[in-house]
Amino acid sequence: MTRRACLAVLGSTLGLLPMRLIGAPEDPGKAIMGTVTVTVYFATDGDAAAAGAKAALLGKALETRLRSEAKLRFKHYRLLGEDTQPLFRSYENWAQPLKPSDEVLVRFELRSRPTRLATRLDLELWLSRKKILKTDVLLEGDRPLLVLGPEWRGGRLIIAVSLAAEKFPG
Amino acid sequence: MNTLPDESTLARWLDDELQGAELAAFDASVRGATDLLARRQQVRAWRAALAAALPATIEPPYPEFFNSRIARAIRAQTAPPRRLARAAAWRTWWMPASAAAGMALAFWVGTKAGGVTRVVTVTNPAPVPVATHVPTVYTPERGVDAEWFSSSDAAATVIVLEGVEAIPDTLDFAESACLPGIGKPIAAVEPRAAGEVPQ
Repeated sequence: MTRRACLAVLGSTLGLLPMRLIGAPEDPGKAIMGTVTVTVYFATDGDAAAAGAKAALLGKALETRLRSEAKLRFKHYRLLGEDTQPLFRSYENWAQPLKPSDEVLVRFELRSRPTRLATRLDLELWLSRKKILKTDVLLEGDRPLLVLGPEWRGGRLIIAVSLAAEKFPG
Repeated sequence: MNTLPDESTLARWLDDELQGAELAAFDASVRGATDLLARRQQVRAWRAALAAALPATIEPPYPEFFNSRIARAIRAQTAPPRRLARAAAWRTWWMPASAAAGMALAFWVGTKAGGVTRVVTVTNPAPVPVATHVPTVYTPERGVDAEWFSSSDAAATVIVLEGVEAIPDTLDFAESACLPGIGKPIAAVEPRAAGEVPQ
């Protein structure tokens, strides 16, 4: 290739680059409509130390809240992991609260346009790379979904899915 | 010029159904056609054989029943129009009502039926807005059951999974437990007394 041809190719490439950066239309389906937080708790009536030394304690009020429901009533609770992911307008997204492990995964996507009060999601819970639960849940700002999940080390995992309500579009 | 007879006229001639000028014209056209004449003779022989073997008339079985049904059909067709109009008016009033009642019953049965979902009503009289939404819960894994309910005490929608395979105890989540950013789990709420309306 001659020197003139090389310069022509370089010039055209550099000339197109700004157009692509400025003029490329954004995908409206990637608009962020909210934020979903998935938290995994370890609940047990046995030895809470089974969760590991690094598992965080829960606040007293949160423990009381979980314990107030008979089905979720355990002596001890520990925080195992958490993941917060954006909620896209028309794309699914995944939360991986026990990173780097993919033992617990939550797939979610909008089912209808969210309002300031509530958001309806299509939601799947995957355990050990298998889809265990599929549901269409209506979440409110301070009203999470709590899933009493699999057994582990003498207790149960509780998977909480909640919304950041203050980020909902008008 | 087409000299062949058409099929329908030929069939009627074979069955001896042609009469008058039509029969004479057809006979003139097939004069000398020995094969057609032989075929008509054969058809006549079959007809005579069948007439000899079968009775001329056969009484229908259960003639009273047969006649009564015919009479009822005739009466229905000749019924007075006033009576029909009254029946139509009755349908106009009652059919929408019965359809609505059927839909309500089907909806109620639908909420009660379900292979994997059991709905549990929490006996707390506090009004919970989310309780009006009944989520569809599906568990594709065999042996896994899901029970959902709206918990006013925990201010949450709760799904209880049963029959899920346990996570091996050898799995350790120590790395996830010390990730930065942890410490803002679901908000805590003050416990409420039974019957207290949430703010």
